[in-house]
Amino acid sequence: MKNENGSSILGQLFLGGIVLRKQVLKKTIIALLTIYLIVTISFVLIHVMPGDPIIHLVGQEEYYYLLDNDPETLNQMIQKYGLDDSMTVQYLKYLKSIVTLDFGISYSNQRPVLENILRAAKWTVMLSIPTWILSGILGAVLGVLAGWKPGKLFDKIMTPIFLVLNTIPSNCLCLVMLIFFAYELKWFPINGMVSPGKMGFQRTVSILHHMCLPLIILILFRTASNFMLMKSAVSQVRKEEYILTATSKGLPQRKVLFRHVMRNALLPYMTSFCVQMGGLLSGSMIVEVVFGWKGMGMLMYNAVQNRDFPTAQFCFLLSAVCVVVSNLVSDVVNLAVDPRLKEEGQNE
Amino acid sequence: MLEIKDISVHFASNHFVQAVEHIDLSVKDTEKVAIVGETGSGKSILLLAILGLLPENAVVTGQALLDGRDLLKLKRKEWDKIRGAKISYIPQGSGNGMNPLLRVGFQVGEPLMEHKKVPKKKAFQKSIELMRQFHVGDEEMVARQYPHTYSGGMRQRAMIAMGIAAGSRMILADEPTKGLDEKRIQMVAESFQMLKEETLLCVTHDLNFAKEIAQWICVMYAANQVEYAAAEEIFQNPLHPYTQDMLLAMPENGLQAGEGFALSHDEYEKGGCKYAPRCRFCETRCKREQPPMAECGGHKVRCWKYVD
Repeated sequence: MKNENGSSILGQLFLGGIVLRKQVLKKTIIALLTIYLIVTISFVLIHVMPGDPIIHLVGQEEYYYLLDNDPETLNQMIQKYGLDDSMTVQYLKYLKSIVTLDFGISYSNQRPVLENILRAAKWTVMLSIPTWILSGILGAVLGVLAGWKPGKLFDKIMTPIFLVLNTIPSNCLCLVMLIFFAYELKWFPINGMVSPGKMGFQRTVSILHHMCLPLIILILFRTASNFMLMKSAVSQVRKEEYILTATSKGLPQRKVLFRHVMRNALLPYMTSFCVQMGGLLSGSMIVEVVFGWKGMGMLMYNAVQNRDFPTAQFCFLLSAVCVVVSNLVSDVVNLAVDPRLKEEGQNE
Repeated sequence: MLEIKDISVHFASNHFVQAVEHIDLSVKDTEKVAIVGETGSGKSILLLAILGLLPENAVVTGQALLDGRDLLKLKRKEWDKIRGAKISYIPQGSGNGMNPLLRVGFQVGEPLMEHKKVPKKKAFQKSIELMRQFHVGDEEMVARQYPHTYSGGMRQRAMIAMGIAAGSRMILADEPTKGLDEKRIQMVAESFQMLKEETLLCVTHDLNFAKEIAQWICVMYAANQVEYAAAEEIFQNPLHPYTQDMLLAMPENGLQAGEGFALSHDEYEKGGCKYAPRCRFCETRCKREQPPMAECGGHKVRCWKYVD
């Protein structure tokens, strides 16, 4: 914008609200298109793979055995999975099954995939939501303290600790914590989610007890990366010219920090926080497998191991959708918070 | 009144850099003084040193007396009461001097909220008034905008309004014309000319702008003050060879660029006049000994030519 006069600014402000709504609508449409593309690509991928899909379904050896000895059964299977339909019909059936969330029966326990997923998701969310929120707050607070006074004692202690946590592989820390806190000190159970035979309140306590160790590990890891992000954001914003301006107005340090530094440093942090939301349902595979926590990570791990194709496909689609949705949320949050983005949208 | 006595600044980081050397300057109430000089001559550092806004690795010596009180000895809490209320800083409008996430009107009114304890809404009204006065824009909507929608010139004028919002009488401005075109520079100059009761110390490398707004001009070269005189005197009768060369290099005087470059910081410690390597009148003693500040026909000038 180059104008010196107020009138066009007036118009611009009036447009601001409409522009925001338009932008959100646009982003939502793009997100829906992306999901549609993911769904379609996953269909196309399976069908361009070399070989008949039925070979993948029953396994190569079984296929050739049936082909030679029992072609009738093979035909039944082909009909059952609708593989004799035309490509278009198959595609439409596939789309319908996604819209109705009907992903068929899991190969491993002969139950509807959706039911398995919902049960696993419940356990995963018990770990992932507290991790997301607590480490979000912890990482922000500690990161601000370290970034605001870099080189001071607090920074000198915290940064190396989180740097180590940030680089250490999670399975390694899991094992160390298990050996130390569960095996040696016996503070926490070694694995599992609840002790058998407990009911009501006692069951809840037992679940919380089992949750402790995996939750602590997850929070430590997430806090470490959040801390690094917040620290670098704050120390970058600190050097901006407008912080000098704020200080030159005679604002006390507290107001400079909260009104000027934090506001700007929170922008990249919010984006990352929203994107992390995309991982809430997929769970942490390593931590869940190590601790025998029957969540989504474990479910996906087992589905891949046992060639449980319907379950694996749903898990894959679900995490893709979560990523798209969380990106949409972060875009919308940014649009609402950062006035510069509204401007860009208008110039498009 | 602002008296700068023997201020020197160096940076104690990896290697010793002398940024400002023994500057003496006194600015009486309502006087307008411009500090001119090329990039890297230390003029902005001097400004930030007076305001106590230099980074922690800067070592400032000397005195900066604002109405008799030494600013360089202030504690942070004391600074918070003085900055913005008694002495204010106007950053470059073309830069990133305003918080991109806050409305301009709020930022202009912020010193008022802080120092006069004016409630937010009233401060906003006052900043609308001030911004109207400085021709930033007539409508309230302009104040409700965010800094990125402003042009460099508008931002600069809004910042001048911000500088005087809390009634500060001592204004320090840093390169207000940087990155602006001729028309905008004129508008910014007009805004500065509106500051009748305020005292102004303005750093600039735009000589025409300095001529428009200042009664006195201080010329700096390589961390040193080389000449100080009334504005007309500097333009009509420049004494220091650097001032003369600088005026010759102006487009209206034929763009006659002098030879050579400014000293690198490593060469600063060699002693002698800093301008000697580029000076047309350079003698042997210029290279050996730093000339003292001499008085000559109302000018203060740091050159051996005028010592005797």
